[in-house]
Amino acid sequence: MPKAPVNGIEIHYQTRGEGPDVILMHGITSSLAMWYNEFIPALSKEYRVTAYDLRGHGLSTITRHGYSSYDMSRDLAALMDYLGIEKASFVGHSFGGAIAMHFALDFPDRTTGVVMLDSGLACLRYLRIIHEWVGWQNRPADMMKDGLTLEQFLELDSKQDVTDIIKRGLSVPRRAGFRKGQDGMTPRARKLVEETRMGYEFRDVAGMTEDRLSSIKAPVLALYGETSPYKKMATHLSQLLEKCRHDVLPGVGHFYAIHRPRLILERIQAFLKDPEGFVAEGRTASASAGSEA
Amino acid sequence: MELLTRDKVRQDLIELLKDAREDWDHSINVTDETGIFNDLGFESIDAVGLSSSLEAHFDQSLPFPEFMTKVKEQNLKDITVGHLLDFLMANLRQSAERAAA
Repeated sequence: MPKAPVNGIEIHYQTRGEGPDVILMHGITSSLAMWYNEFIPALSKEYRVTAYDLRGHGLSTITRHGYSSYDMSRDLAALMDYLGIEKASFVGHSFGGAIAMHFALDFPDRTTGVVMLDSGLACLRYLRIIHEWVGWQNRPADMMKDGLTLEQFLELDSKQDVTDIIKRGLSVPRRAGFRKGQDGMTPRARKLVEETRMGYEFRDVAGMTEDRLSSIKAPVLALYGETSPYKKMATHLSQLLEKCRHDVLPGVGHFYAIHRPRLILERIQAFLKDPEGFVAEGRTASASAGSEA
Repeated sequence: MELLTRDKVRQDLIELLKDAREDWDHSINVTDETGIFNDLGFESIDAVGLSSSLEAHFDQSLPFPEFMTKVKEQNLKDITVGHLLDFLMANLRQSAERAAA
């Protein structure tokens, strides 16, 4: 299978289609498989689509360190160099979007646009509404099995190192898919959470401060779930960034990109076709709606 | 050129399935009804890796993502070796026919 030898590791990637480059980036504990069934077939009709497994994930090399958005944006740059991709649009779910934003910040000339799908950015963590976390809302029984109360959960969550929370999340049986009923603590996932500093490092601001974020000039589409703990980031980002169109998707939480990809595919395609125009049009519509209110 | 019979493709497929799993359980008797996720312990990413191995082995690109989309729409509980064989025979045959035309 295709693997790029970059930054001292091997990054597993899949490329399909022809056209302008689009790079898909998954979130923590996921893999490029999340894009495989829907996003890759749909987008590869018009674009050269590259999806890759982040360091430590899927079929890429697991290392002890290297999991901040800064480190991961350097992996992305090295992968693009290896594949001969000068410039691309990025679609990132969750932490994948944070990596894309870090890349856009440090490599503006190589960024056509960014789609953030419910991405929590470390510098905006103060905006999270953690009691609306879909995992907590939908699966209290699972989380309470070992006596964990909401207060205790919030205490664990307030720490920089959230390895324990990630472990608990992975131990909840899957609600859909071919592995329905099985938990997510596969041997690979166990190695990632138990033998690396991922659970600590991915929460690092790593130089992407709120002040610096506002200097991003690339057009950004920010799509957040209504019951996601990150939804306040959507409106905040559209005020903070020069070119950002946002939307809060009704009735879905943090994982809609995995479970309901068709909800957002058309919107992503419209953005990719003309990122600047799509964002400008959205901002004009919001401004008119605001003046009418 | 070796003829790609269903038996030959099955034999190659099973070898590739074994390669895709580091912790292959050699006691498993693989049949066309064997499910790759529930019986062989595949994760989604292993199926993606398998698609690359199949393309390399048969030296042609295969519409594997589209196959996965179709399978999901059918709400199947698993992808069996038989499903994979049907997919391969349809696509490998199509390629052979195109090459002969």
